Amino acid sequence: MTNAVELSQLRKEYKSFTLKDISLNVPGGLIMGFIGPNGAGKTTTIKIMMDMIKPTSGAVKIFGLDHTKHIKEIKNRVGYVGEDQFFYGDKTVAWTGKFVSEFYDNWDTNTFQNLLTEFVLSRTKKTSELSKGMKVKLSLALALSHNPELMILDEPTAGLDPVIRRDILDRFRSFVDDEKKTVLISSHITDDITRIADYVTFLVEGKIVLSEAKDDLLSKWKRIHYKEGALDETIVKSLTSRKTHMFAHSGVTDNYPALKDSLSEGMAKEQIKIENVNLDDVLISLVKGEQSCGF
Amino acid sequence: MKRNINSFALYLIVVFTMTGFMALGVNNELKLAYVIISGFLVILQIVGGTFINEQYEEKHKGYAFLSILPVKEKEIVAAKFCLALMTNVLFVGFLVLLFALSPSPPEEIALAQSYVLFMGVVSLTLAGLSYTGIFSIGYTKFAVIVMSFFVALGLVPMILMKSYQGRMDVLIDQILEFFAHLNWLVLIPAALAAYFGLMVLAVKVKSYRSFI
Repeated sequence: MTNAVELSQLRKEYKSFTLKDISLNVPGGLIMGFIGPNGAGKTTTIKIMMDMIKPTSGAVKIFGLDHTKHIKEIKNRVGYVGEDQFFYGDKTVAWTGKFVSEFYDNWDTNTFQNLLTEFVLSRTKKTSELSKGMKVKLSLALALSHNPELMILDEPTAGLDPVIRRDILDRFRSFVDDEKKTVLISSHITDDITRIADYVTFLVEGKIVLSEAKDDLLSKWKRIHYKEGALDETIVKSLTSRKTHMFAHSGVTDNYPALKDSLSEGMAKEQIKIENVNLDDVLISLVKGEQSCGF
Repeated sequence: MKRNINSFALYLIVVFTMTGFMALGVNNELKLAYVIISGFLVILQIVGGTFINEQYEEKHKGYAFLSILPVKEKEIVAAKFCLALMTNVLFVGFLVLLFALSPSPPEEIALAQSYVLFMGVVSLTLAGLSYTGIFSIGYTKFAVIVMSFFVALGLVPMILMKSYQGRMDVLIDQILEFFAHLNWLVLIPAALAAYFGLMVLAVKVKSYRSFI
């Protein structure tokens, strides 16, 4: 599987934030979820990839092309939807489509018209009169109408109601049904990533702290509930997000398959219970690390 | 450029018609007031056009919109510089031609033509400086600086009138002498070279500034 995106030692320094030499490969033909709390550096990374901001150091390759030399060709093959949508507000939806179409080699007017119809977007409406959800849909229609090979989505569902959110996520999922296409989607709404992503990358304070296939990750990360003394002390110390409840304790492990055998006796005696975690739990564990909470 | 092409065409029609009517209004004779106003129109339409264009881009976050499209920054900057140059050449050329058709004495026509050409060179340089300044510090900050500059510039006629009190004919003679001896074979290529240099600088400045 070739990589659609390769980031190497990417660094961006601001006064109050630094993206710290991140390296990441996004394999082609799947959906990579980019997860992190607000201010973790997701948008900075994506804006560097789109050449909207310049990195302090490091390199970006998209489709194997150096993005400093081939940005026009790359953008021709990439669809981008950002958290904020910018259009000329005094122009109509139809004008915007016509304007954007002239920049792309592979623009398909029929696809654009069909998407406008599907998204119930009025062609004669000024873009400034569109709601947030409608603007995202227009961005999506524009991004999909030039037959992109890679979609880069920066918090596209932020601020949208659940119905529109579900519609848009389904659209991303169907986009990669053609296995040559790739999606990189950033979000702090982990439910969205859980729903559609094949791979997940966690970014915390400007660093990539974890990058793995989602199913592998969720099979390794488990919450262990245990009664006092039921768990070996070394295992207890390895747990993150530790909590003490009224009758038991709990903590999250990132290495469940290796612990499984040693936990089986306690599980048989019902002194230990294993619970699946979601990506929110993983993110919280990664962000906060070990955490104790007395009851 | 594509965005503005319709309004640009309409604008040119309005300007040329207006100037044509002005020409008819002076009974085909070149009058000083008409020539002076024409020169200021040259500056107003190029520099004003630049500011209106950039105010529009800032209002709608146009550069953020353009930044996601497959277009290089130097192409965006070049399109803006080309539009200003085209407008300038068309308008100044139109005025030079209009003056040439006047039955006024040849030396007056030459002076009037020299004056509008000079204003064309000034306006082109101002447009180049404006784009470079706007790409460097943003439209709003640059507009404030320019407005302050124009307020200060308003003092120049007062200073001149005070300096030449009772000797205005000397000042007018000096101005006419200045326009009569401009070497256009040197000035026009120099102005174009400076404009091209400002365009290259504007591309560099813009590439270092995020409009997102």
